[in-house]
Amino acid sequence: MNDLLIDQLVNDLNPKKPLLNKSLWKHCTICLVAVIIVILSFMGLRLDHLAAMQNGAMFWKPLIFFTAWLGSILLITDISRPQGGLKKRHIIPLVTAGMVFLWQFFMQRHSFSWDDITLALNHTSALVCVSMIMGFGLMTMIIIWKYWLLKTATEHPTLLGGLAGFSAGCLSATAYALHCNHDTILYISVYYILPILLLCLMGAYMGRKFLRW
Amino acid sequence: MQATLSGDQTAYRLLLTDLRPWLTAYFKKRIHHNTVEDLVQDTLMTLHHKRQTFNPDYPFGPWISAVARHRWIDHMRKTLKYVETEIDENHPSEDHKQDECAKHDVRTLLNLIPETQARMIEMMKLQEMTVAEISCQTGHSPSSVKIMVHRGMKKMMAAVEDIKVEDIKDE
Repeated sequence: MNDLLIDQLVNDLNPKKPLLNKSLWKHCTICLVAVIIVILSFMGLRLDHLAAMQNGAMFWKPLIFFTAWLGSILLITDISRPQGGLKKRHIIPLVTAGMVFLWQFFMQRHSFSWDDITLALNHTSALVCVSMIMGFGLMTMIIIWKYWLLKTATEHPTLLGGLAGFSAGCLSATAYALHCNHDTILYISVYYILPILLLCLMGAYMGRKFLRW
Repeated sequence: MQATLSGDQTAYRLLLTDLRPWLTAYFKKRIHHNTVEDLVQDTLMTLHHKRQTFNPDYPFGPWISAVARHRWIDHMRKTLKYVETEIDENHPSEDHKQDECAKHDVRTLLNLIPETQARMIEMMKLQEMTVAEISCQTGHSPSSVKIMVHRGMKKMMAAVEDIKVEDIKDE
């Protein structure tokens, strides 16, 4: 019986490319560059880019999401194989992103009055931000899913799916941060992190359902 | 395994044939013998479908161990509610031995006290009957049943204490 199975498996054998981490990096980098090109071509760089460069907002805002994206990709590569486990050093980029976020939180703490919060959160362009991050994030997630996740064999399907959603959200947030001129940390906390979390939850649910093997 | 990824059928056949006894031994240690063969086949199929996740820069052993472990855990999850246990009458378990010892001790202690008290204690403590039920069955009043059980238990406790003291003296 088993020999019959071995015969069938041998007859079914065809060459396969091993799942190498550089493939994921390649696809994700192409996605990031493509999303940046699309956003800059159709929406343009933020209007106040010179002032934003001087006050640093042009750098720290994309940096938060870029480092988080780097960290999530490293963690995805860690757990994509059966014998894989999370490496502690790969959490460093995520911690860095968190620290930059906290640094800005403390820098902007003087503007945490009720009026400022209302002003920051009631902006009309918030829906555009959320839908852009969600839209580009979903497209990126589909690509990651097709070219990487379906080929993996993880022991943590929910975590892998969640990380894929998180990474896709961070990627689109990095690109969109180059166009968006809302730099208040409250605005970022709600309208950037909300779609990322939604993508993360969606990925975790899909991972739990479809990445079992 | 590297040759397998490039489509070498001879190497693949050799790999699967070599893996079969290793997997059989791996699962025999962990699950019931009836399901070993199913799990070996399942693991070989998983290896076939997920072979691209093997990284040629790392050794094969940990990879196939992880695949086999995953299949085993998956199998355990699915069959967790149907745990198979074989009771071997010739080799009683440690718990069984302890139960037998306890039964013997209780019988010995009950022989040390008057027969009526021993019967009452047996009914109340071992058969878990209520005072009213014992009273009906034996014809004694409920209060005398309680007193007899209490006195009997006291005598048995004293006997146990005596045995302990004797043991300490012997040591």
